[in-house]
Amino acid sequence: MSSDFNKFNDIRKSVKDRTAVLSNLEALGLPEDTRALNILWMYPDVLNVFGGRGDLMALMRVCTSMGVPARMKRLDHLADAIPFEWADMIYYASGDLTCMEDILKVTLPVKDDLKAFAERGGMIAAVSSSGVILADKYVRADGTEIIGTGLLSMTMTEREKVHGDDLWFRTGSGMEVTGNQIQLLDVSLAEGQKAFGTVIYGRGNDGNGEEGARTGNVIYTGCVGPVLVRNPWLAADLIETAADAAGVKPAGGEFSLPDEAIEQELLSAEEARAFIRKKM
Amino acid sequence: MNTLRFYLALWASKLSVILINIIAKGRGTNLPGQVALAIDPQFVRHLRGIDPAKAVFVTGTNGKSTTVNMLHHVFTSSGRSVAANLDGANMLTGVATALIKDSTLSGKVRSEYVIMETDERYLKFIRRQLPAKQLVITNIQKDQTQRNGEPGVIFRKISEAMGDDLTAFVNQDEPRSFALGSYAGRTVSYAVRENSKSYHKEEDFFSVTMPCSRCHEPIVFRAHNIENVGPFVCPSCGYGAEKEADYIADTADFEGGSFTAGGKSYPFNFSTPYFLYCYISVLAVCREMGLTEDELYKGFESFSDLRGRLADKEIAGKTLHYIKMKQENPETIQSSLNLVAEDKNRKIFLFGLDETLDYYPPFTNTLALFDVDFQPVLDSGLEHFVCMSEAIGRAAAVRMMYDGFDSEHMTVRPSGYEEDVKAALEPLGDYPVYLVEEIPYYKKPKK
Repeated sequence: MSSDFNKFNDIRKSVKDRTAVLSNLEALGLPEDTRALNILWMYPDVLNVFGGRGDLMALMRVCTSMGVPARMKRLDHLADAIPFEWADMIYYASGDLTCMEDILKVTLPVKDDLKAFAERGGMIAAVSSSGVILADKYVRADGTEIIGTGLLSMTMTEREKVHGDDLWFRTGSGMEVTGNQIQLLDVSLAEGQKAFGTVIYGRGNDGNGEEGARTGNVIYTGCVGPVLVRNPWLAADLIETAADAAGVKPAGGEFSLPDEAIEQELLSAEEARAFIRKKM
Repeated sequence: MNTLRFYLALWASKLSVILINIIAKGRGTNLPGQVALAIDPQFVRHLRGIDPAKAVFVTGTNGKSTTVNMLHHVFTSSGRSVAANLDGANMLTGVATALIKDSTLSGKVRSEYVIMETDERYLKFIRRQLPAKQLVITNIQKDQTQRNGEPGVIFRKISEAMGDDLTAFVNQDEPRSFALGSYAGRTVSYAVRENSKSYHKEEDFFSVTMPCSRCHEPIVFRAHNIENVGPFVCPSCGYGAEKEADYIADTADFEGGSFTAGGKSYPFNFSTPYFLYCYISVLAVCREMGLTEDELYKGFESFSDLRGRLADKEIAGKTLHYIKMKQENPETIQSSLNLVAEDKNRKIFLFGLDETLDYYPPFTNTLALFDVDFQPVLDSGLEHFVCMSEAIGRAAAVRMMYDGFDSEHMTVRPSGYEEDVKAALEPLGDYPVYLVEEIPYYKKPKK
């Protein structure tokens, strides 16, 4: 484990205020006025299933291991205004489907701001059922439709039964990702909408070999686990992309996540792949 | 034709009960019901002699079996006759089996009362055939993701089974259970007051709570009697208890083995606060259904949970303290971790995890690991962490690392079988040993 990460862990444990801004600048030995990657954690208490907070922990851990200065802020209440000017990355962890309508009620009025944020290079990521926020629409089991922000051209339709299994896929950039999929919504991509990856094992969007969706820096994946904990290389890719767009440089000059910093995760991923291979 | 079909179903299923008793006594908690329902899909509806007002269903994530066993014990020890599915077969076939065993050859249920554990997802289908008028809802939490997905799914499925004809006994300290009260014609609430084992969570940046069942803004717990169960309020919409619960465990003496409710003291045969909720819900049901305080007292006095969540075993020359958890339910994992953390000595912590298999295929379920905090265990003094799992042992090690535990003091073993537990413990020093696992090594079938 890197000493930077140990230092960061000590700092984050000392932060007893949820409203504080969490930063790794001190752990990296950087001055407080350093331009950092600003990560906005959306509705932590509300989007809180499948250990989703782990993704946010992973982002800070990987930023620290890569030497990327980072700050993280929580947006706790649906009524709170989204600080688009502050953020470089907006992260919607996996949340309960029952919350999505209320989240969309506060998101749709700022849909144009969200689109503008993405167009200027801001990264937006949503996991599992939270993909509804980015979708064109969500169709409930009773047939009623809830309109989403449409940042991704996809329709999410409630399934009669939950699909729960492992998921192993390869992203468009060739990165392998493993995790779990607890799928309550089938995902149908509109023509022209690119998938985030190609399924190696599992169901993915609707069993057709595609997983997730990606348009520029807007990403949806159905992979949980938490997905960024189990795949820190994916976290590194998101961080590099978002930092690049924001003009944030790593302390060492180059974006790099050394294997020795993620030794345990590499072993964990191999453990998962070995288990999945037995089912293939 | 319908009558003929019913009798055919009844007698065939009763014959299957006899055959199962000859071939594999103690088995067959579902098969007779399967036989009956295959012949007559409305079999349970066609049984006679059941008074819906004297039928109690118990549903929820945790505590169903204990609550049903306790209700059954208190009712029967006071001389009342009860048909119940004590073995936990809680779908329609299990309920049907319990009723077949209790019925006459003419299809009349003998017992005056029916007390059944009911699966949350199948409650609607069971109530269609047996419209019990009493429903106990223990809690709605994250669990069994392969079946249930998210807690909201379970909330919705239970709500769909409810109606004006129902009295719901709801846990006023558990936000989702309490919210379900609004779907019933009548609500009876139960709660536990803060006690010596209640705790307040120290917040840090990554602390999370849960969404309000009404407005989906964050819930705030004023205290946790057990994990995510305690007096709560939604600061945004005001959702929470507006009045005292109808039945409250006012005080709890864990060492002395008693609790008080309504000014009367009752025996309490457990050391963990989790069971207080079972007791107070049972007390609420029994009082509402006409049992006296004395009958309750006698029932509680002689009740003991046969399965237990705590046990001590000797292995590799060490005493191992076993604490049961449900691997997919963060609340029971956290409660187990909190129990380990009560011991402030340096210790060895064994964490047994398996792949998840509710439905085929099994999968490497790591979802709950980041819903819980290992920090209390680390802070209490941890010498060595051993994770035992072929599928997700390394993933658990990653989780511990996230809370700052040094990988040099971690071991991953490929299973939680006895030889692996021994192999893990032998090189380690003489420290107290805790095992948190769903099925402990000494109950696992041989490989």
